[in-house]
Amino acid sequence: MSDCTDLLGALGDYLDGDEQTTMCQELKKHMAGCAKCRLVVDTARRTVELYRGEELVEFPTDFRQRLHGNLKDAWMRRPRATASAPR
Amino acid sequence: MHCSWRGVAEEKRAGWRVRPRFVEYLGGVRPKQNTTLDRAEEMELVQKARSGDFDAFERLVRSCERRIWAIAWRLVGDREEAENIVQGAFLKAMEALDSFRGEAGFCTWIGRIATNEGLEILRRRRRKETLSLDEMVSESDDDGPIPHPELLADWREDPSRSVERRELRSILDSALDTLTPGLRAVFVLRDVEGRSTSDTASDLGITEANVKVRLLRARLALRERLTEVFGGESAVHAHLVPHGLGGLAAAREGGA
Repeated sequence: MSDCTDLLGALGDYLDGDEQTTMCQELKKHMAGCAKCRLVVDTARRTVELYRGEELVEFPTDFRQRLHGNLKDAWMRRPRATASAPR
Repeated sequence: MHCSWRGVAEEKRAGWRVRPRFVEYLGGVRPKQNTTLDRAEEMELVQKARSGDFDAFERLVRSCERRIWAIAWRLVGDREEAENIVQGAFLKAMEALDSFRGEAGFCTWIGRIATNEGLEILRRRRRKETLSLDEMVSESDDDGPIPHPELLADWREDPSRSVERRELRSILDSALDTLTPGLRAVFVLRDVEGRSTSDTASDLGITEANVKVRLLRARLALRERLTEVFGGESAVHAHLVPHGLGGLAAAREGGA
């Protein structure tokens, strides 16, 4: 198998670290000699990494404050929330 | 070996208009560490919270609130809906604290609650949209050939060094918004939340093979959009790049 497009189906398994399949082995071998495929695979991996990180999602400060306030109110209203008073 | 990525699109996609200012960004993309709890600490806090200690519950919330927000935001991409999901998930957790067994981590548990609510919102949206938008039903996430990568540019090293964080967030959000709800759900469950293929299949009511196909489509679609932005002037259609390093070197020379 030598065509890049034939190996595309293995990209998912390859990115997930499941490199033992025959297709992934083929893709790995192929990438050693194909700079374009390496670029596609590397930028696909980088794409996943960017979305995985929490740092690149803005957690709104005003919502955070409201959230904690609302949770405290809900906690106070719980019938059993008497053992220790919230701050 | 002969290389033959076949690029077909000659025009940039309509609706993708983000052109980042390329400035030095020193912060980098690093995971936050300061609120992480180990499993023993987590269970201790859960026990205290069960006995009525709000401070303990709040520490649990703080340990995973960013994570839960990230899941909700990535899933629905709407501020108000994301807020409802996150607050609803923590309120449900508060009520169900006695049933938490600790088999999965606290964050994983809350994450599942939040994801289920987010998926319900996506389903509701899809039902509404299919009533008025034909393209929602004609577009298939599972059938047909996997689209080939169209653009090539080298932005592997670290786009966050070149683009301000706010811009980067906006770019990632805009790219995610271009996915269909079906692709978006699979991508967020697998790649953002980190669920297994079988769990994702079970939660979405599709086969594991469908999960794999949709995940590949989503990753390739996002890669394509990010290449348009991060590659900038150096992005070239894959089929136009001559085989070998010469083409890539030329592409890099044209980059920022």
